[in-house]
Amino acid sequence: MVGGVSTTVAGARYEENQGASARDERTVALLGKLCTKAHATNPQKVSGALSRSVGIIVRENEGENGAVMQASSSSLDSFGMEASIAASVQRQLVRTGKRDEATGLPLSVKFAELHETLSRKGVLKRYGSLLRLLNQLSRHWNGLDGADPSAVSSASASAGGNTMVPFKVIGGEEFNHPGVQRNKNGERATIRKLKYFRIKERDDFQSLHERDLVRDVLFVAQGIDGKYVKFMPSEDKYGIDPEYVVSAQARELTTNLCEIGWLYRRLQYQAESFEGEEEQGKGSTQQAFFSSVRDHLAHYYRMLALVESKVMASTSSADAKSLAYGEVGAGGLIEREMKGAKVSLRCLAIMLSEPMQQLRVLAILCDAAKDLKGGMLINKLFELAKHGDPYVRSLVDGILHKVCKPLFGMISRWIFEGELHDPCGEFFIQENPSVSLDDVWHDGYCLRTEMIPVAISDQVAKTILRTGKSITFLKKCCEVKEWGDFHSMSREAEKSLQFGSSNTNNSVETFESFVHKVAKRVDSHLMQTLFYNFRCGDHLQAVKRYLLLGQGDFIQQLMDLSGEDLSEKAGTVSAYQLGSTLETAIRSSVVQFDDPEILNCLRVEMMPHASEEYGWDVFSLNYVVRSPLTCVFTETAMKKYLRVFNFLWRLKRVEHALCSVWQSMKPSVQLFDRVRNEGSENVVGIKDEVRRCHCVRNEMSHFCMNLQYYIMFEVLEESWTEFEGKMKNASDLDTLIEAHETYLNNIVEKALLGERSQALIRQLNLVFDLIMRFQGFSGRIQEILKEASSKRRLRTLRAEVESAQGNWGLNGDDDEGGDAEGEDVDCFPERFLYSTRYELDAIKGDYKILVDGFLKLFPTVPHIDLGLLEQKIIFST
Amino acid sequence: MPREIITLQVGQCGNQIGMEFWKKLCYEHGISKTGMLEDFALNNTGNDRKDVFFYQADDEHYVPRAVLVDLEPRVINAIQNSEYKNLYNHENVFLSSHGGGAGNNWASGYSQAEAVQEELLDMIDREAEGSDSLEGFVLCHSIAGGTGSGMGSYMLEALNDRFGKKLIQTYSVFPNQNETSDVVVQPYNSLLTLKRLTLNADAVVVLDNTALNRIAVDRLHIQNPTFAQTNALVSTVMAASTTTLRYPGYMNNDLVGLIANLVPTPRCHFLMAGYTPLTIDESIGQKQETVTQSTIRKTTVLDVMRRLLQSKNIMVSAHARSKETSNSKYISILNVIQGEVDPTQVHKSLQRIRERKLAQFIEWGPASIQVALSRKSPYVKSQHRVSGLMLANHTSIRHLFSRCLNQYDRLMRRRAFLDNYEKHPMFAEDLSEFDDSREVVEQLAEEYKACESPDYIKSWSSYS
Repeated sequence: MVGGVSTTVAGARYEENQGASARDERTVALLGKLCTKAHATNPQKVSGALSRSVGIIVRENEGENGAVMQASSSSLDSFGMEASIAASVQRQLVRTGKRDEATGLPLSVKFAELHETLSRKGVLKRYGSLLRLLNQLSRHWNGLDGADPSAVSSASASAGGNTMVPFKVIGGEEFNHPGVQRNKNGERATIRKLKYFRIKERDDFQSLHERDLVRDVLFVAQGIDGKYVKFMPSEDKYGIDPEYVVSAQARELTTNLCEIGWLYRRLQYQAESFEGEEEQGKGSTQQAFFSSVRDHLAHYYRMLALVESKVMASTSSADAKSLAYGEVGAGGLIEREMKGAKVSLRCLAIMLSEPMQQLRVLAILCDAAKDLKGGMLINKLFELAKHGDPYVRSLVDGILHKVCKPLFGMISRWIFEGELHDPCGEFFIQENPSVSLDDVWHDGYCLRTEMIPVAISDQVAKTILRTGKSITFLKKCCEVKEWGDFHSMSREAEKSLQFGSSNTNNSVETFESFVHKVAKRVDSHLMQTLFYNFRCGDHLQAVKRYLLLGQGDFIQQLMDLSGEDLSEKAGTVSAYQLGSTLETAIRSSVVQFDDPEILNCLRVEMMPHASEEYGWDVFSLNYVVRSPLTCVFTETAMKKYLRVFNFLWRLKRVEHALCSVWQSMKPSVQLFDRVRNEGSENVVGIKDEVRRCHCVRNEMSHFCMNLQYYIMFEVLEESWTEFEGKMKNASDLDTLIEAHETYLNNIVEKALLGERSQALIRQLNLVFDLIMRFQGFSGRIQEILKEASSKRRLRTLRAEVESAQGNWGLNGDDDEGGDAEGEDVDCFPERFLYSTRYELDAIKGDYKILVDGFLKLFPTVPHIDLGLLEQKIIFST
Repeated sequence: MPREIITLQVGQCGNQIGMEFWKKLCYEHGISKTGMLEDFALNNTGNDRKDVFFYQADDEHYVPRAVLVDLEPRVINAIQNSEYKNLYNHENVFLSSHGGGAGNNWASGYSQAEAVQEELLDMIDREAEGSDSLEGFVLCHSIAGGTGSGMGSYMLEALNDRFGKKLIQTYSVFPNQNETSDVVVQPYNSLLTLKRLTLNADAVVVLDNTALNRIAVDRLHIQNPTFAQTNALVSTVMAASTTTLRYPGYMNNDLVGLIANLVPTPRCHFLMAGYTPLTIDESIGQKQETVTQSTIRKTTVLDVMRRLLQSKNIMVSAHARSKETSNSKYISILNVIQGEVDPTQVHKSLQRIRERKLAQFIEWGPASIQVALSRKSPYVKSQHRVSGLMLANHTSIRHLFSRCLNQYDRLMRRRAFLDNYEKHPMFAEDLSEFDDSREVVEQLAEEYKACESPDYIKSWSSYS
């Protein structure tokens, strides 16, 4: 039971840490006296009192001071064994890994300290005997008189608890084997269904020999039922056949030792059942895990064999020395401990304590890993590896290392070959098999976030994803067979692609830097392929020149040539015809010198249209690229390009219209006889209207030019400059795609085509509509005025001819002109002046309202810098 | 090819300007003196549009779309004996058979042109047919002499009649009014030409010899500038104003677009030009290897745009500009900025100009400084990072016309030198052509004056 040293420990601790408590002071004082007495007088006399006091201390402190010694040999009888006992206690303490609650020091350290102090002081001359006594006392606790049953039960509980330290893991999970539970107070207590034997039953102790129990325990440890100790399925544990009567102590010990059998049984069952399921696709990581578990079990078996042979040797003959030299640590321990001794249950408990812990850990791992695979399994193991006990840590690490191996295999295949072999879905990269060639980059592969091992940061996981994806992309879409020589890197790969423990940062760094190194190579190869073989840069530039109207002369030519066709109803416009128009426009502008490969991407497209729409409304240019460039020119990107194109095209058309209005009224056009004040009041009036017409045109043109300037230079060119810089620095495709998207979004947003500026664009469209209305209006005026002008000229000519013939003045009986209904001498209908004036007023008024409205909307879009545009529009005011 | 422009160079001055212009164009496009592409320009096709001003002959030669016309052989012979003799299409050269010139007489030039009109129009027609979609004509001439003014006037009328829908732009050199001219009848010639420029041209870039001289002296530090030197200034302006046509970008890629925004009302189509920074070594033929990176001056956009608004850089006489300055207003401004320009700098410069009210604009309509950003020729190494051309429609130009009218009136009052004119059919019967021209020019000056008033549109009309 409770060892004396342990009591001293407790006492000393009280001395140091909890001296405040009066009760403890008293206890310690008492103990101190006893010890002194034991030194001075016959120890036999005080032993009773000492035991009692120890019992009290134990009772009081039980549960708090878990560090108790259990390992003491019954054969211990010499003073010289003191060190051995102390060492044994220390080992025990190390194994439990407990820490002093007050100082945080491991109890083992504390113990060593105290033990040293005690020996140095020399207070206890017969220290070894005292220890032995206390051990004996604890062993035969229930034999002491005066001790009440509750003390006995609690003391025994403490002994039981000692051997069954619950395995605590970070994360609050606790592995409960059936023997141990936690009570409400969190104190360790053993709740057994066993009935405690009364003291008198001690007489039956001999009914089962300890040797039999030892043998049975060894059987049980291999998962086999012994003669007396059997598995009881109803209680899911091993226990001594109730028919046999054994001492409570032996029963207790046996039952505790049987835990190892229970654990083994469980592990074996899991390992085997996994083997059965192997084909159902549990995955390579789990396979690796269970194979590692099996390795450990095999190791356990070997050790068990060693123990068994010792037991056999010790029971059969005394010359055990010739037997088995321990090969592993546990074996060595056993050998040292047990040299030439008879193996008792206690002895066995010591021998099995380490394997027991190993099995416990394994059992916990198995339970945790049961339904997990891939990264999740690894993550779980990582979590469990974060354990204070170095033993547990190294055990879990070993398993983790093996479990990670298949994962690293997958990673290296992925980043070197771009191959994804993952039938069980364990890898953190997932393939989407149904994706089309164009979408391989964007939708072909994705991360399974839950499968990413914690040691691999999201960033690194993304890099890994991109690297393999790049290779796949090169293979599938670019039809490239070579993507860099990685043979030289394979050795480095083996070294770098491993890490097991959660706390070896170094290896994680090596891994990350290796991944980045490979990624860099693959990325640069891909970028090079895209830019040199597939001319991504040229295409981007071309799209800017064609669809964003960067090449003004080409667009102008196209507009000149297609204008007539596009004025037709959309239904009657032939896309084929427009295609040849496009060809002509290409041939007659600077664009003709462009690479045919790039020019071939340019298409005319007619958007879906309603019957009342005109060609202008549905005409569009499109730029069609093939894989692999579709990863940059995605469908959404092209939609944005087209949206911008349609807007710019409309803006250009309006400008074009205003230019043609100007051209029809340009300075050298003679609509009126130039001499001032000639003609009637109507002519003067219409001259004024024409002048106003010019001014309205000028206003509109001013607006359009400034709007164009804003969009072309402030939006397009600026965004392009920014994008170009990013494009040149882009080291991988993802960055490039992202930069391209930003570029397009920038344009869409700033060109007022974004969500938030819908009101402005609507207003702008109204302005454009009005300008087109103005063009029609001015065309009509021109027609009438030209007709009038030629009529007048004809009349003048006739007058000249007549005057030359001698007929002076105009004759009233002319066939034409003067007499015709509705026409006066000015050769245009009188009402023409008024209708012109009226319509122009309306256009001018509407225009002012619309533009003012447009300007007033500027504050509603604070995210766009329209300062210059506004400033330029109102520049002279 | 698209939007072609045919250049007509008429008279001594016109041909000199033209020659400088073509030199400059060749230089900018990497075309050799014989019309072949220079080696360094061979791989650079696609950057520029040479076909606006050149066409390519069957043997890959680039040939200017130019018609060279003169009544006396001196200048044209010089061209034909120069290194550039093989550049031009010899069929496009017209020299009068007698070679006697027009004797500084507008009427002589006009009537001689009339006499050979078929020959002239044949050349122009042929050239026009050689282009896909002719945009217009550019006429280079002076308005003081006989050939450029008289023959030029005739050609303006003829072009207007024959190619009414095409654009006609002129680069018209106005006589130096500071010096007593060797051409005494210069006021007559100017007035008669101005009438045609008013009625038959769509845009007239006024280049005042007075100002050109001043700029050569003040800015280029040449004591006695030669005609070749002042003509080089003109060619610089001509080349710069066409950069957006030759190096197409987003905007201003056609002549109509350029001019339409400068000329809001048809009569007021006389433009002033300014260019900065001017350098002598921009003249053609000099090896420019001496220009190293360190000597490139960091001119800023703001510098350029501000300087362009200063009178001293304007190629119209300061006298005209300084008169009644407070009333003078810009009708429109176009700045062609060449070089490495960050659009945000333009933004800032405009802001500064507006805040400081460096330019006064008309009040009856919207006006602002339009900026056309243009690429530079890759072959020309300039000392300056940024250079700029301004074309402006400014009401102060009316003082130039008034001055012409004054000089004319003074001469006419004495009825001096009229006999030379009366020899020609147009003036044989009466001198009504003079009166008519005077009226047109006066009307023009008046209209410009009206533009200075805020209610130009209303007041100019007879009602309201």
